[in-house]
Amino acid sequence: MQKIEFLALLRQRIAILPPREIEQTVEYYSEMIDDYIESGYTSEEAVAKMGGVDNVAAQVLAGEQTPAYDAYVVQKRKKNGLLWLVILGFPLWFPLLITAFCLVLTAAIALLTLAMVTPWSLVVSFGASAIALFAAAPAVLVGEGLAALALTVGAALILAALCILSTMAALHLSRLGGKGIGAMFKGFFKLLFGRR
Amino acid sequence: MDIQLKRGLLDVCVLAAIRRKDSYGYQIVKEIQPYIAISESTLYPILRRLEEAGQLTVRAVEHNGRLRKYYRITSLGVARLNMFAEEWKEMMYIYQFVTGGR
Repeated sequence: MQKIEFLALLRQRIAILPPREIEQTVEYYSEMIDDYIESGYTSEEAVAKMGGVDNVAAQVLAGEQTPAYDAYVVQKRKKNGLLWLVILGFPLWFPLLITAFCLVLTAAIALLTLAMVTPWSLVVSFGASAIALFAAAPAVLVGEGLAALALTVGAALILAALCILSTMAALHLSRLGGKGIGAMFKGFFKLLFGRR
Repeated sequence: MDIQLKRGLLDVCVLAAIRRKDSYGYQIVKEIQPYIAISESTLYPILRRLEEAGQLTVRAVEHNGRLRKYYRITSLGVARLNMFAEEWKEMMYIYQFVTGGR
């Protein structure tokens, strides 16, 4: 940082002081920086020697005592205010955040389950058809076409029904699973807010 | 060093630095630094306070085309240094008490 920038920033930070104090302060630091430059430091090095605008301003204001220092402290408090709001509101927003996360997770699991179940259903139904054909095969070979047909259709129907039932069962179970997780967290909620 | 102890010592060190002859900010810092930790920014409030207490005065002197502030001790400042020297005897007793020298 250059000398001019440093002094301008400092001037801003202590603007709350009486004009005479501001001028005296700026003169002091301008002189100090110039003396460092005269002893061989560069402008940046000399400015760095002052220890940072924030620190310098704080010390100047503290030295002046009330009310300038109080104003400075109030300024700082406002900045921290928002942070405190977040910290104090933790019991409120954190459970909400967790619930939202879990709902998303549940949905994801349900969808995953569905995705896993569907191919199995297809496999099973395909397998069922294949078994049905196998069952009918001897009848066809022997020449009893009608019997074969009846056997095939019968077997296929039974197996198709089993397939549908198992798919329904799977979907139902995944739904229950989702409800279960949701109920678990509702209970959690009641525990937290019930205390109020 | 204990901060409470340090505060009082910094004031008398600054006064001592300008006792022999008038001095300016940069030079005061350099003169005191071997004895006690002081920065350019801690010096400034001390100078302001000592001026307000009437223990030093300020005047501007031209130097290399710019103005430099020189600080001069007053009789009140000298009185304070003498008081510090007096209190030092008391301090020695307390020191001996604390370190169990008796």
